[in-house]
This record gives sequence, C-alpha cells and structure tokens, in this order.
Amino acid sequence: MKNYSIAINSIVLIFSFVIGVGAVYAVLKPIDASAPTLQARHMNSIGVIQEIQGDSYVFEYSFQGKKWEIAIRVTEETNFQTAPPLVENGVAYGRDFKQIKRADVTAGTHVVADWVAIDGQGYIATDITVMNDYAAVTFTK
Amino acid sequence: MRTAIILFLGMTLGIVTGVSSPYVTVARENHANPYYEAFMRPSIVSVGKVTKVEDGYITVFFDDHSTRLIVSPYTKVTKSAPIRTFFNGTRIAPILVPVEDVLGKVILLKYTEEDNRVIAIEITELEQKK
Repeated sequence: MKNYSIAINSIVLIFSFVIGVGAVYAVLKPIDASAPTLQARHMNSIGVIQEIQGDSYVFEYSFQGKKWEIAIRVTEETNFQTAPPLVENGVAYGRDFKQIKRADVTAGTHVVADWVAIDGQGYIATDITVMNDYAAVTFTK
Repeated sequence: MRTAIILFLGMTLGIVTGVSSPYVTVARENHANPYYEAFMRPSIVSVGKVTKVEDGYITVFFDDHSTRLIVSPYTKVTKSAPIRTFFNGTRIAPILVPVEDVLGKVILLKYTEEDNRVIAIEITELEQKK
C-alpha cells in the first residue's frame, strides 16, 4: 500500500511539474523565443574591401562628398563564401554558395559582409560573401 | 491533503524551472520590447547624419531628405574606436553609447518602416576617412 502511495505521489509531482513548465511557455509564446535575440541583430556592409589590416576589413561609404569608413573584424568563425548566380537561358534563378578560404578574399574584392556589433569585442563578421562573379542577367520573381 | 501539497509543490517547481530557463529569458526580453515585432521586420541600412536628438526620437538627414525615427531603449548605438588604432595587434573595440553621443555624426543606420512610423534598430557611427 505504501509503495502504491509513493507511485501515485510521484506521478502527481511529475504531472504538476510539467503543467508548471507548460504554463510558463504558454504565457510567453515560445515561438517568439525562437527568434534571434535582440542582442545579435545583423548589419551588413556591401561594397569593395578598401584595405585589410590584420583581422580588420575596412569598408568605405560616400556621404556629402566625403568618404566615411568602418572596420569589420573577421574571426575564426567567419564564414567566407562565393555566390555565383545560377543561370538558365540567360536568367538567374538563384545563387550557388560555395565555401572559400579567407586568403581568397583580398582588398579590392566586392563583397557583402554580414556582421554584429558586440560591445567590447568589435564589429564581428559572421559571413563574407564574394559578389564578383556576377553576370548580366535578370532575376526571376 | 498530501496530494494537494505535492501538486502545488510540483507546479511551483515547474514554474520556477520554466521562468529561469535561457529559452524563456529570451522570450521575456523580447516581450519587454514594445517594438519587438517591428525589429523582426525586414529592415534597411542607409548612411545619414544625425541632425537632432529628442526624447525618444532622432532626426537623420539622408542625401536629399530628413526622416524622424523612433529610438527605443532597445536600439543599439555603437561608436567605433579609431579604425587604425591597434593595441597589441588587436583593434580597439566599439562601445555602446547613449544616442546623444552621435548627434552631428555620420552614421550607418538600420531601420524599419511601419504604417505610420519609422523605427531605428541599430546605429553605428562612421569614421571620416583621413
């Protein structure tokens, strides 16, 4: 009888524990929690890499007739890739992403750099995509 | 009576466990931001100059027009250290700054537009090329 009682109480405990956890998740809409955290929003810089100083890749912007710069830092985790368009009958229908080495990206290369600003660490590049391999094509909808 | 106590204890443990999980912490952080859904919308990155900073708003001049944007407490504002200044071979990192610090500065601005408002998501000060 005592073992029976322990079993019942254990089931009640587990059941109520699951209800407790479930209630929290239901109230806070887990689907929202699966979105990226607000601290990891991506920015991007599109253009030619002006210079490379160690881990810093410098990008340039024009505004009011003057040049403005930002330096994006690459790390071991930065993903370097190319993205030549996939073309069929003169129409591009997508891009073919391929991994490349960091050494393949030099100053003067036209890229899209995705990066995040992390306080105390820098503007950290997550992806650097070479966009030199473009062709005179029209993208389909 | 004992079953009721165990039921209450289990639910309390479940709620405490749920609230303290990192997954829920992110959800709570997101829910605390009234502009959360706007932050998740597709956004635009432009270069402009901050001409005015008011309570909760900034005005940014782009090449041919000015736009007034909402600045929320969740808008990330960073200021870079001089680009070519290194310390032991490592570039000095940017820092989070209050939005007032970018008044009069040229910035890289990430923003999103809704029906009747424009919301600044991220502001990054740019350095003038020497």
